[in-house]
Amino acid sequence: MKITIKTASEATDTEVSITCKHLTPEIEKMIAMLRMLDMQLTGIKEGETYLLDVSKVLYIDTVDKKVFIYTKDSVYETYLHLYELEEQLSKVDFFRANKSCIINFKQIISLKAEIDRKLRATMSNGEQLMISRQYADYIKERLGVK
Amino acid sequence: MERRKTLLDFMGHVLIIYGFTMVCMLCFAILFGESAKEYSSFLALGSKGVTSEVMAQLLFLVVIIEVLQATIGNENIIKFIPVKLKSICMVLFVFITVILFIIKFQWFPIGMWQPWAMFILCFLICFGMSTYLSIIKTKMENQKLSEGLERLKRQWKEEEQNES
Repeated sequence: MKITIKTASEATDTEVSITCKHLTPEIEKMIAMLRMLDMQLTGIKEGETYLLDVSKVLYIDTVDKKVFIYTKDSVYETYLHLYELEEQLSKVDFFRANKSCIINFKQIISLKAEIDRKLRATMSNGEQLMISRQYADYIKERLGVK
Repeated sequence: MERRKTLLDFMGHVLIIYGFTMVCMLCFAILFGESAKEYSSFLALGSKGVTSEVMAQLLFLVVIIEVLQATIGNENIIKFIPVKLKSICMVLFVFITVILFIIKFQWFPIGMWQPWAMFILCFLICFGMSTYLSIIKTKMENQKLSEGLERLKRQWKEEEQNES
């Protein structure tokens, strides 16, 4: 792969252009990572690629080694790994809820403590997600409960 | 992230429970020691306290209970069991362990129904109180979580307004 970097003082915005024979999953992943820097996620649904605004994402989940992005009314697949998403999205209030899920804090409408020290988060679409004990402490600290 | 439990945490829990158990035992000894010392090895010293033998037995019991608690409560060891079932298992295991200790160390004559009735009554009272306390604690935590979330949402709203 050839990488060319041009610096131009007159440039108003950073532009990344990719020239390739055809799109491969690796290139798709690279694009997805670049998009994430712009706070946008690339999601695939029924073979089509969609650009998703990070703030509209409710949570991201792993099922059978595949990563899915959940919005209020749709589910999209992504090429990125959960840890890659977590690393970038933690800057915009996403947090790890359990081994297979990261949640958008801003999309939580209520939190309930369970008797076994886990937390139950109700999302803006009414879905309920469990936050394991391991990660519940972060939420409690963030909310000033602990 | 939650800190991993170490051996020191385990020992700390054991000593807390043991200390509380010993305080309860001394209260029992003061209240019922004199009347029970004839037939209970548990209160053989009467109102003067408990023997070092009983102290060692209680320490052993507390260690077993703490091991049970650490095993049943550990998500990495026992997975996919509902919380309610885990709690029921824990109570049952503790109940059975204490019964085995009573029989093995003859804390009271096993042929008499009165001490058994007292034991079951005490166990139920303790169980009821701990359940009540954990419900109260969970309710208080829920209240704080709800207030904290409201506070954070207000803060986000203010930040958004300031940005725009």
